[in-house]
Amino acid sequence: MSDIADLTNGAARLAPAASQLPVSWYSDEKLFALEKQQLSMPGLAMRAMH
Amino acid sequence: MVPGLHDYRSLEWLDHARLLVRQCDIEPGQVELLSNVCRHRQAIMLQGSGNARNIVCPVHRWTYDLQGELIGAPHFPANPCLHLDKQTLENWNGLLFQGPRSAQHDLAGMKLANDGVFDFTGFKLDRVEMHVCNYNWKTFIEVYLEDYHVVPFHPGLGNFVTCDNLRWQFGEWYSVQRVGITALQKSGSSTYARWQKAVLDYNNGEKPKQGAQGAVWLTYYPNIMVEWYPHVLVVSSLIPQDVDKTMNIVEFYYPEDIALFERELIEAEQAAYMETAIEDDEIGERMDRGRRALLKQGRSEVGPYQSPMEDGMRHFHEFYRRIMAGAMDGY
Repeated sequence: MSDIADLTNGAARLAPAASQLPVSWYSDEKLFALEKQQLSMPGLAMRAMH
Repeated sequence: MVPGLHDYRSLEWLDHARLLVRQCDIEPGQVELLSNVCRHRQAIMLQGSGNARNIVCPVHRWTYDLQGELIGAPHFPANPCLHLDKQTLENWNGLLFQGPRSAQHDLAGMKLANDGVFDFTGFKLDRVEMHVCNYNWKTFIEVYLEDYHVVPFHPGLGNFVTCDNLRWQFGEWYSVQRVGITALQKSGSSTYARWQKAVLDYNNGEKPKQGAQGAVWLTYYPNIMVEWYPHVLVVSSLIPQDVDKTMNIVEFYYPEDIALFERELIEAEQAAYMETAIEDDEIGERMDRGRRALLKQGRSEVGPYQSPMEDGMRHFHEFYRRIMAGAMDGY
């Protein structure tokens, strides 16, 4: 949870790469299957309509 | 999508397997999501949009009412009582969501919504674009959630919005960013010049009132984005199809007066939006190519986040790790 960031007040700074995802996670078939299980669970496959 | 009583619309992104149906003209919550697959031989029944009292399968004339109840099965001695599956939808500021997660709950703390900025009641759907992206769905979200690339990579968008007064707000299930709108006097591409002219013409040469609020980009994790620019609302839904293929369903909505009478404004806006989308595709494809190349070399590299312009990407990574944590033993 974070508050609102403000570019005009906050100093533009480089933060340590503590949590970027490993490069292998973007082409891993097994992980993709896990994502489909975890992220397609009812309620995560939402869609906005009007 | 279905403004009138008994209006229906089949959802093309599901190959028309489901229908939006307005059951009653009392708002909110009277639009339901019905199965559009006949319970007899599983044929798709309606296709497109229209107004109907009943849903009739064209193959054997099985007939359902708009609540999904089977009311006719020709030449059967008794009603087989095979009804259509249906879901009630939840209304959040004029947008409809299917559960069981609650958009009202998940987005409740969003200050921008509470300020009344997000209220899309009365907006009309103009077009649905099904856009295939040849890269991973997480890459799409990453590009969407950082503004660092806007000026160097989007000459058109970069002269329409300004990230000088970027604001973020983060919640457990969303991030929302607000950027400023420029004076619209300078354009970075002919496509955006056309949109900017249309916006100014519509506002008698003045910057639109929403210019004070800026553009608002909401990401409802993990896959829904809602963008609000002057005079247009764009809802994008990602459907991951493979590790390197993602379908993006893009819906364009407008206030009724614009939807009915401002064709040039609509077409100019959609062309500008798609110009930016194509530019984002190049970014996403470059990122995935680079990551695959590193992987082939047995290397993994990560880079720092620029704050605040990449704060949204960092927040998405935190969300992803939290949701996937229980399933990722061995990673």
